[in-house]
Amino acid sequence: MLNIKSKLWLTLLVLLFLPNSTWAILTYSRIVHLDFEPNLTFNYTNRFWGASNITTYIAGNLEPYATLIDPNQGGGPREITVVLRLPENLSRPGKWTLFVGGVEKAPKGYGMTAIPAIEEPIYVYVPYPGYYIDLSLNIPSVEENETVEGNIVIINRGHNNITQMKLDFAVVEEIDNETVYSFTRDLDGVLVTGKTREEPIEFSTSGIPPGDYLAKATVFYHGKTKSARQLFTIGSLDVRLVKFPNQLPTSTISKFVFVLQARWRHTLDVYAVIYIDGRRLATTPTVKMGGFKEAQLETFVDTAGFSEGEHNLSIEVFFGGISKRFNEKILIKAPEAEKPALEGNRSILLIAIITSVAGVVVIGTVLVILLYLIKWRR
Amino acid sequence: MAEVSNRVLAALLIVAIIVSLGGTLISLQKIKSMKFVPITGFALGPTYGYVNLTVESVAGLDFTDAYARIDFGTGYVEAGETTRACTMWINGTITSPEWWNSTYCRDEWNKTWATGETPLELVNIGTTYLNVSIQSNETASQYLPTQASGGTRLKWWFQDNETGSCNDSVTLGSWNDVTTTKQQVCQCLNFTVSKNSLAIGAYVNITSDIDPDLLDKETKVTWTATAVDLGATASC
Repeated sequence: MLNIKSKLWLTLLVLLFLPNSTWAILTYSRIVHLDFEPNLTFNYTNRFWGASNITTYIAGNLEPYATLIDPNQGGGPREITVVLRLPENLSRPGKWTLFVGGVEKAPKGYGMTAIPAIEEPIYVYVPYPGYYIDLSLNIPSVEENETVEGNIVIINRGHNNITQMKLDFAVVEEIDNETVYSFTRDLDGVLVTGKTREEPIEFSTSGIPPGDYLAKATVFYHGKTKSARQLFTIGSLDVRLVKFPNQLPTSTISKFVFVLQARWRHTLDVYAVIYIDGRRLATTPTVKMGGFKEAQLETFVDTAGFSEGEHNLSIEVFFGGISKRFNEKILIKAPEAEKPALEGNRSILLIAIITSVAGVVVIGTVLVILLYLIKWRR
Repeated sequence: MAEVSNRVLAALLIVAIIVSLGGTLISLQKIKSMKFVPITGFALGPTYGYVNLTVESVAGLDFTDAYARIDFGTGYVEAGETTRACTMWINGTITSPEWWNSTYCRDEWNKTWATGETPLELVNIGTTYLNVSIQSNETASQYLPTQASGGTRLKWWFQDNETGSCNDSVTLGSWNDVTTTKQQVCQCLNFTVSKNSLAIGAYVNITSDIDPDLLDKETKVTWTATAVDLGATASC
């Protein structure tokens, strides 16, 4: 009975993730960093848009000290205000956060839905007792052989001024952990409480192969250490077309073999789509291409319907989440007919006869001349 | 009165034009030398203008319309002497989706549901890095209550939809039960076009003892993807 009941009901059960009308939420990027001050009042405004039914909210451990002023809660695009009133004291040192968020309202009547939300943070920093720094890296991705121009940001988040700092900086290959660049530097001067120091980082990438790298920084200060790391890229994902067929027979299914070379340090999954005159003919299987290695890709293409002559060949290669199209020319021509075996034999026979006749003629002539000479001497 | 000829009219027109242009030029010269500034179209100050343009960074998150749904369709679990289950899942990427369903899935749940289906696509449509988390408003047992087995499951799976989208590795990169607490998915989602999207897979396990009486037909499961703005120059 139970099973019948279940079956009858479940026939009607629809499992569906269904889209709402817009499914996007946007806001201006307004991230706020504040040093803690007792009883500080801070007014924050921002705008949310992208959906017709946005619910705004505040969250985080500073929420008890904040008030959200939204003139049209649940409505469309609009500006909102948040008033943050900090207390006399916060219970612990470090970073406190207030998130000002907007979320699209879930649609009614569906079984399973997914919605986006976006949050802008307001950070309040309460000083640590003694010595304490925050550390972050800004290392941009660059092309091959370019110079990296970045910096290391050191912020004194402690009560005491920092008077001794030494920086260790290294760039290591992300997978092999091989160091490709490093230095150690004393950072002179005094970093006052609450202040920021930006230490420039500049180095050439000449001789460093394209790939993903990890920048690591460690600052030693007053017997403490603080480390930070950041991924960045040297060069760009790229492949080269090394070899491809320059002609194909007409109206035939032929094997199409070509060779690619990676211009990237890491292994890539690669496949390609073959077009002639814009017509999609075939897709290759996916192959793994090692860093800077070559890979041979194969598929079969049918040239039925293409006239004899030169045509536009496109090989669109997909790798690492991007694609690159190589545009080349290809000749489609009638396959050369094989000469029958008999015809080949006839040619050989003819050559043999001619050679024999020529030989006989030469030998005969020589003999005649010899006989003539003998007679003449007598 | 004799009619005026065309020649006379042409001559008058030329005279009128000369007088008009001459008068305008003389007027502008006089106005330029005047000490007060009358309202005219004559530019007295610098002959160039300024345009101030400030481009503000935007934080944005989007479920791509074309890939914002997973339709498992209509079906049922084949009944038996003991409790049976139907499991269906879809994951992979938008261009290479993968899917599966188990033995006792019937009707559309038996293989036909996956035609044309893809995982959900979540895209960073702004100009800043985002820290992305996921949260469900209900667990599997709340959404699909059973009479005895407690065997229903709802799971999610996350991965880069485009290689390199998540600057750090994507967490929850395998089947994990949905949770009503926030779970971090990607610490730093890129905003560069061609590597700014995540694929979200879904897994449903329904047992034959699902309790239709307990099921609240108005209830729905909502997965909320929350992105905290990290700024355009985040260290990630």
